[in-house]
Amino acid sequence: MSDTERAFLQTFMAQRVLTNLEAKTCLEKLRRIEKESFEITDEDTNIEKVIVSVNKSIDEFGLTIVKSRDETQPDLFHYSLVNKLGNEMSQSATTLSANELDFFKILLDQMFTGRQHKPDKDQFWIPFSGLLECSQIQGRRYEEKRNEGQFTVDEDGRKVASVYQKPLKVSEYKALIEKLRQESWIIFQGSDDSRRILPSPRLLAELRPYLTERYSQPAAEEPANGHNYLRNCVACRSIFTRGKQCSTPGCPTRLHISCEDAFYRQHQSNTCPACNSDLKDSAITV
Amino acid sequence: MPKSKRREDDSNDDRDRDYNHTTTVSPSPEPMKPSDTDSGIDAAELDRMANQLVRMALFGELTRTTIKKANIYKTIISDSIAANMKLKTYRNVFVMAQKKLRSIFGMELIPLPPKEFPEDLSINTTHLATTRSNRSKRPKRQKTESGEGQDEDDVGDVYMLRNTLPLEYRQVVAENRSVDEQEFYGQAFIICSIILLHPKGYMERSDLSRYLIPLGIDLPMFDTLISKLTSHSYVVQQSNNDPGRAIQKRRQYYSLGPRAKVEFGDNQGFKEICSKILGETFNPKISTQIDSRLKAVKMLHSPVASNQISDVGVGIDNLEDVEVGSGDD
Repeated sequence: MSDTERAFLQTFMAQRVLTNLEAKTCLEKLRRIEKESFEITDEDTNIEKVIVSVNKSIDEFGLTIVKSRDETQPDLFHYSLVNKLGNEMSQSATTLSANELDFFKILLDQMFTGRQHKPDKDQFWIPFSGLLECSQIQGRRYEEKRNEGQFTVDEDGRKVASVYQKPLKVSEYKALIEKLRQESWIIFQGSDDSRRILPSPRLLAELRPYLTERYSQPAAEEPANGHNYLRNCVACRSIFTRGKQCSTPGCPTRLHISCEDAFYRQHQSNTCPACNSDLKDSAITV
Repeated sequence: MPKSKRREDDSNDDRDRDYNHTTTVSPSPEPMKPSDTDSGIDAAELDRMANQLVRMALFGELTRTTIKKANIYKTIISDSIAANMKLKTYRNVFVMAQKKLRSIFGMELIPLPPKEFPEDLSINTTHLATTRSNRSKRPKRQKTESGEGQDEDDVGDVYMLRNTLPLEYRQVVAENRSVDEQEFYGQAFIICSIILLHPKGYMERSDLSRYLIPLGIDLPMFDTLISKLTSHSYVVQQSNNDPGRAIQKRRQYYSLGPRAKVEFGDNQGFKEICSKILGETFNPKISTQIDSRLKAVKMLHSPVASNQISDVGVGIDNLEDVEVGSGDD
């Protein structure tokens, strides 16, 4: 590894997610220092090449930099430094305290399975006002656990000691949300009262195993109405949270806006591969 | 791989392989060269433990948490290792982790400098209660400039990560930190500079806070900031809680903490800021004064190039004082 590669990696450690543009700017600056010259070639700023080299070195530590295309903008890519051993969320979100982590998990539950999801229309964002509900859920769970006594039984039937995660106060969860945004776990859209909270590229990249395990049901176990919270884009197969949803009720087809054109071209038609209804014009944008 | 080509393989089983359209690399792990592994411990096992230590150090640094030697023992050194081999294992693991940190991440583990307070203030120890117990009671000996690593006193049982990259590279990394992080870092730097340049090397609370008003840091902000700086070891707080004194007369003093000495221990950075503040009045005399102040508070100097540091690294010559807990040897 060269100093440029080390510094590039350190930038990822500090920032966690860089867009292709940010990564390129950073690499350009580093190469100019390395070469002691303003003149640099395209080869010097080949992000992919540097990332392959960095990934080779950090793999043994369970770390990797992954590239993902933005769900809505075709030319925008996100590079995220991912902790591969982070199947358990607590190993990824190491900067959070136990009750903050608890709140974060509730927030994710709300985002991915909240009441705003309708069988015929997904909605992976929640309004800011939805935080109150997360807080109420945390409060209810706290009360329940306290009433249950010393032990609870987890999903696998094991007896575990109850941990009372004290619910966060309003000021605390507001601070947490800001922290989650700074650490690129969530993104905000809109302003002030109409602000929305959306899952971020880092969230989708780093917590993919967690999200898939928790929110996605295998095809065989899908409910009769075909409702399944988490689906992958038919084109790129990564998690879908924004884009087009086939208008046929219960149809599993989801397609990112950024994958759309390439999909129609490759597929040589504008129709849904599952139900043959028109995607291009009549699909619901979510 | 571009997404558009992915569709040809539309089967479900490519989901697991394909980690979010990753730039997939499957490195072939290089065979470990067992360095000094006559301890009989499997080289692969040592390598695994070293990698764990690297992860521990990196994730700890994200929250500016220090790494305690006892904790390394507890969580990383496997229980299957015989008690009398633990020390040797620890040394090997430390050396390997240090190599990896330097060569891959441009970082290194260094012992946290002791928390100490300028002497003229700590003479009146009967009037002063350290807010945190002073860990290091060892006699202070000057570290040799060449950094031969023979100095046993330069060993702590708490470590932190230090950046070993050249300054220009570090600046690019710093530019990419989040706005809040940059702001905090800037404030930390300024507060530490003010304390450092104060003739006594420590400052009373109200004196320090007064300097910050022009920077828009009012008292409530100062309190939040200073408690954050204290908890991250940028400053050390000492208060004279002499019970005989009236509450109004109790005072709090701040001096440079271990982390400030490591992170800001770069003369150039301090001097640059001073010359900017002082403008034309900055002269060689002041420059010399700054140098002597830096020396007085034992600031660590900017990192030496990694190839100049012995591979043995710092802090592993004096491990005997670690309490392992299992005393059956």
